[in-house]
Amino acid sequence: MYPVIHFFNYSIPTFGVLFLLGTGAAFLLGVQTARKYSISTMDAMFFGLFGIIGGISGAKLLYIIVDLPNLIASPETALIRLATGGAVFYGGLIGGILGGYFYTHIYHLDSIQFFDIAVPCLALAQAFGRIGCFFNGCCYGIPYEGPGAVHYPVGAYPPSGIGLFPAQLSESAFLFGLTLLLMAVLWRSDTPGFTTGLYLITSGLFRFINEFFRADPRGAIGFLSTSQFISLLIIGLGILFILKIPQQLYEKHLKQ
Amino acid sequence: MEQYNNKAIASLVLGIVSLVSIVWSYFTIIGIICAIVGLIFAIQIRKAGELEGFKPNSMATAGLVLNIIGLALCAIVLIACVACVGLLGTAAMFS
Repeated sequence: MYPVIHFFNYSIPTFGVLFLLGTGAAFLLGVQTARKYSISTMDAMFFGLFGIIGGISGAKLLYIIVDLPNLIASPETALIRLATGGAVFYGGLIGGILGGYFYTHIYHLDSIQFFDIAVPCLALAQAFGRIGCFFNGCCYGIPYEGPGAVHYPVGAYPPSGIGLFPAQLSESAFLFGLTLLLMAVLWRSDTPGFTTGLYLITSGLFRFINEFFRADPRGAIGFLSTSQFISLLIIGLGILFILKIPQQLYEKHLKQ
Repeated sequence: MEQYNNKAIASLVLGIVSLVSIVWSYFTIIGIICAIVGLIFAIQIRKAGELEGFKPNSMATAGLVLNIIGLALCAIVLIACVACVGLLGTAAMFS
């Protein structure tokens, strides 16, 4: 709808602006959630920054791995493509987790507690990101003519002239609600890792269902979309966190 | 302390380079790399200050702030809808 904002003679991607707003909001929330385990603001901030550094590196690295045959096939454009775009979200997620874990590992901090305080912030940043998707026009929904149907203008990326299900906004609204739920659970729960498990299960489950209401072209593995397949893995990991298995493994093998 | 001073200078310089590189769109990737390295140096100094009990100098603080701003502004230019591109990329990997 509004993929770019024009500011003097610069064109700023709306998704980037909302991503940045989400990151800022997540950091502010992180300062509050860190109080749960009496983690200093500096540690919470640096954990977040390492997560972002890992995320950017992971997204780019997985893009290079995935796109390597094309990059080798046309080396003349490879450098420009590497410099201007290309990032893989799940690479970013894995990189972000590893980046955050790396920070807690080198400074001998409890990783599970840090993941617990980070998940409400992650949900909030994702919620802003999805609003960015709405403005960008990507991740659009199936044709739908009920209340709240979105009509994109002619020339936008999604099909225009028909009503579409607001799949981005439904996910965003869910994630805002999930942030509040996770905050409440974090304050009341005495089990480290429970909040992380709850986030993984609920977000994975919602993503799995929401995928049925999306119509944008995306990959598929068998009869499931790629996201649904990954959501199942995420839900499985969440169940392990609720059963305290990663916590026990961490205590036994990785905690210093 | 000498190594921390050198790292503080490096962090500050990398922060400035990352901010300057925003002007040319093709250089934002270089800006991000500079900001990441500068940020790691600045965090190292801060944490060392906390653990060894000294106050980081103003150059280290300026480096930290400039690198955060540099990383944020470079990311805003570089990032498109990562989720969407990501799905296509992952699908290509599995197919």
